[in-house]
Amino acid sequence: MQNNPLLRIDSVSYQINKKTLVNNVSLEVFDKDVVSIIGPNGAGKSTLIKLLSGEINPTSGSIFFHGKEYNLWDLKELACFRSVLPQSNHLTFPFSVLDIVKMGRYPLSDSSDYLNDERICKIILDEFDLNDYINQNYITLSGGEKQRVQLARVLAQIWSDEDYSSKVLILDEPTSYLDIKHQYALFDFLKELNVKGLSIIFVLHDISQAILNSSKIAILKDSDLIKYGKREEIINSDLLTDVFNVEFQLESRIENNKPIIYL
Amino acid sequence: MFLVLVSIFLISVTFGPVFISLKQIFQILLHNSGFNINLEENSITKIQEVVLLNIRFPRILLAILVGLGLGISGAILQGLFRNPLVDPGFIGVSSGAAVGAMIAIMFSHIISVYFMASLVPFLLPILAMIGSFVTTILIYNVSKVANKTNIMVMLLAGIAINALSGSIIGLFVSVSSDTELRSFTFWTLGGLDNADWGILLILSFFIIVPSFIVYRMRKQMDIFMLGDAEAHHLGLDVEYLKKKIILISSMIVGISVAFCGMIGFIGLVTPHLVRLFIGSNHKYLIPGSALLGAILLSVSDLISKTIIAPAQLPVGVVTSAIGAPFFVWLIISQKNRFGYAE
Repeated sequence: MQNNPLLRIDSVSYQINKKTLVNNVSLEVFDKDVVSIIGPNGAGKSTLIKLLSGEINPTSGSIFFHGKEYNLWDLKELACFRSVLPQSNHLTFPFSVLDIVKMGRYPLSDSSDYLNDERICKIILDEFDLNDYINQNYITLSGGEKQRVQLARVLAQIWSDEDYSSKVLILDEPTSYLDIKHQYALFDFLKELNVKGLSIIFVLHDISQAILNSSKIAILKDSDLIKYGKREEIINSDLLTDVFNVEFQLESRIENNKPIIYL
Repeated sequence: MFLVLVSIFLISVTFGPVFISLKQIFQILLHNSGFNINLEENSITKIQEVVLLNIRFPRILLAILVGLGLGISGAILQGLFRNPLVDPGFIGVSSGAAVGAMIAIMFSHIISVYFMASLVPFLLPILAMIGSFVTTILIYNVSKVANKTNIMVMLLAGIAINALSGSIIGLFVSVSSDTELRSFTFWTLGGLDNADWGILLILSFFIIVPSFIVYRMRKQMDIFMLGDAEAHHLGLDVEYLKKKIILISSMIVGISVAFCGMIGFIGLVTPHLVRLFIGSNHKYLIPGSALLGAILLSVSDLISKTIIAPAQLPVGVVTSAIGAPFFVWLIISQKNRFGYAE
């Protein structure tokens, strides 16, 4: 199984107005991987996420999802396997929370029936603590509530009752605006889905969260992929100090069965 | 809403320079559908019959049709720009259509030489549609800043396009005769008074068919509201949808402007009111805007033909008189949300 990467990017570069945002990056993501992308501001994290999700095409190099290049995929079919949460959202019209979460089911509208969609939306709304907001107007919600609605939408898109293998979830800063309780709830939920086979790629700002919640880490700096690999192999305070230009002290221990990482 | 529309239809049919009561209307209708009713016995004159069948009915149906079309195209154009302050009129779509229509009127004798004679009656709608199509694409591309439409740029582009169209129309006006000039002026103010069954037939094709296509796009429209990237990730071909919206809305607006002149604010006010009451879900927004658009335009038409009777006010005057204050209220109530203060 490890021989067939779910997502493979091969010496990919992206330039805009002669400025290189991602420079010659190659990496592979396998089933059940949880990859976090970290790096200082302007390192090219969001651009890499856009490339990985097929939102933009690389200037050079190629990207394969299930062994097939993105522009060869049928968009709707692709949407059944990979779900993406971009960083900002532009919704200016009044929609109810339920309407938005249901939009996540759009790519499956040919194969999934109304009752099943209802059921799935209910489970997810419950998971994201949104039960009290179902009929509320999205644009009147707070930042954190909006973020939870968007998360619920992208999860509705790839929802499966048992098996998530061959599916990937790509999140650009999923914890933004979330309070600490909902951050923990999110990571717990993602872990649960990961056990069922889901692969996850996310950009995280909080390094200790990245270390805690992922199996692999990619470190970007100045458009280059500095390091990519299993987190145990990657993380050491010298490297982090070098990348982020801040003195780090890495200390981790287990307390009450919970790992605690100090940076 | 549907009942409101029906009652307005009935009220509107009775009003006009020649009064026809509801009872007489039914008698005329029955008479014409083959029932044995003697019109003279019921003191119905031939004039009343002709007025009802050839003037009243086409006119009110035209108002309903055009109002429906403007409501729908307003709804999808606001969707395209993801902005509830968009109106086909002031982003230049209508004036683009006007230029196209004007070219058709002024040069019909030249163009018809090169075209098949059977195409000539369609020349005006086709050119009007091309005009509005070109302006929509132009404004859409100009106002796109980093893949988002910027409302300020969009309004400025609209002003520029309107000014340009104005000068082109001005050029045509100055070389036209006095009678042409007067009809141009009235035409730009908008009017439903040249309605007949032929026009209705053409319009119903160019408005009702696109309306059904729009309704079938309702889910795509919903998803498109989330943003370009979000819609793309949900499996929607975003560029294709945008092109469809541009094509359909310019078709509807173009054809309406071609036959009825510029009728402002219906396309702006209608979807906005519908959103206010039943939200933005296009499953309800599209039929709601269609119905409300039809109601608003037929009420406006009713006002326009009764307020200074026996003379008639162009219907565009009425819709603007009602719509403009509403628009100002809209801007005031929304300015915080769109950050005009920035």
